[in-house]
Amino acid sequence: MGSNHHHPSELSDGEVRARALESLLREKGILQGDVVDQIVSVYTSDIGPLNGARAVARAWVDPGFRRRLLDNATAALGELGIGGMEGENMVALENTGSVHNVVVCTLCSCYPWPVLGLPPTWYKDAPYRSRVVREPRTVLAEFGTTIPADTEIRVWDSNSEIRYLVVPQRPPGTDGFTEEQLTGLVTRDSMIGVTVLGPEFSNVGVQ
Amino acid sequence: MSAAAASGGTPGAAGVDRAVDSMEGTIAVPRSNGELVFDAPWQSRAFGMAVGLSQAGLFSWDDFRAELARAIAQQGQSGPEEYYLRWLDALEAVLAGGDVLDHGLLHQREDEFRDHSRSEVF
Repeated sequence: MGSNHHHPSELSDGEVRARALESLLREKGILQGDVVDQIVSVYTSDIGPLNGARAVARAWVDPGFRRRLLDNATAALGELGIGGMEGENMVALENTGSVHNVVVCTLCSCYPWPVLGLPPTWYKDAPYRSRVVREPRTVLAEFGTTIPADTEIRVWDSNSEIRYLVVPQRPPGTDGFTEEQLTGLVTRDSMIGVTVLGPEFSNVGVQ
Repeated sequence: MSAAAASGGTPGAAGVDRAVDSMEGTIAVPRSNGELVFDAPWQSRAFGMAVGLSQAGLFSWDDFRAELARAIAQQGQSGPEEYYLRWLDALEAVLAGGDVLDHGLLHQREDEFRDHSRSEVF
């Protein structure tokens, strides 16, 4: 700039149009308060995988919550303020050394969106939906996930009444982590069951 | 009211969420690894306005989707920037039917933002 003259930068067409529209709608009282911020926040984080991650991390650190989550996930998620299931029941499936759970919807694309946000594209693709039932080990390997040969893989088919949340195993080397730090380690794919959380995730910072 | 409100979720969001999710092909919301992608804040404002106004009953999501499909068919889109410009086209179009939005006023307001005679949205 180099001058005293105030010289704001050029606004893009999109910026100009979005601002003009919002400003008129606000003047008319059609848009009020922080409804737009709330919606954006809901779509990008609140109903994103973060909700599921919060529940998983809580289950790792709180044995009572873990038990309630596995007994009645809908109610336990409600304790964390996670709702909006519209009558579907949530079922939490715990991965252990002997059982690995993976979720699919073979008929369509049922997905626990209040817990995991919008489903990934591949979840809705025919190849995943058909193949994960027939050859789960092969499909998981394509996600870079190797399940030990003596670990049973259970494939759970979602439907209009039941949605599943996989509780992945807590990664090794995270003993000193806070609940918040643990939340930052839990990925969406691990809660669908197509990946596991390895020790390499311990290096990921808290988001 | 549905279980959504009672359980502390986002009342009314479920239907629109599924509608957002049901948009496929060229009108599918830009995403990366399942997450919504916004390249600039105005794009998320545009997204939030459309979802919010539809939830508030100003237009149906089907009508919005039809306008979006038409705008994209006419002008195409390659990435979030152009996608959300078409999104604004669609939003302006569904709001134009009633007496909610005066396009003359809108263009005047755009000029004010463009020449910096106005800087605050409200």
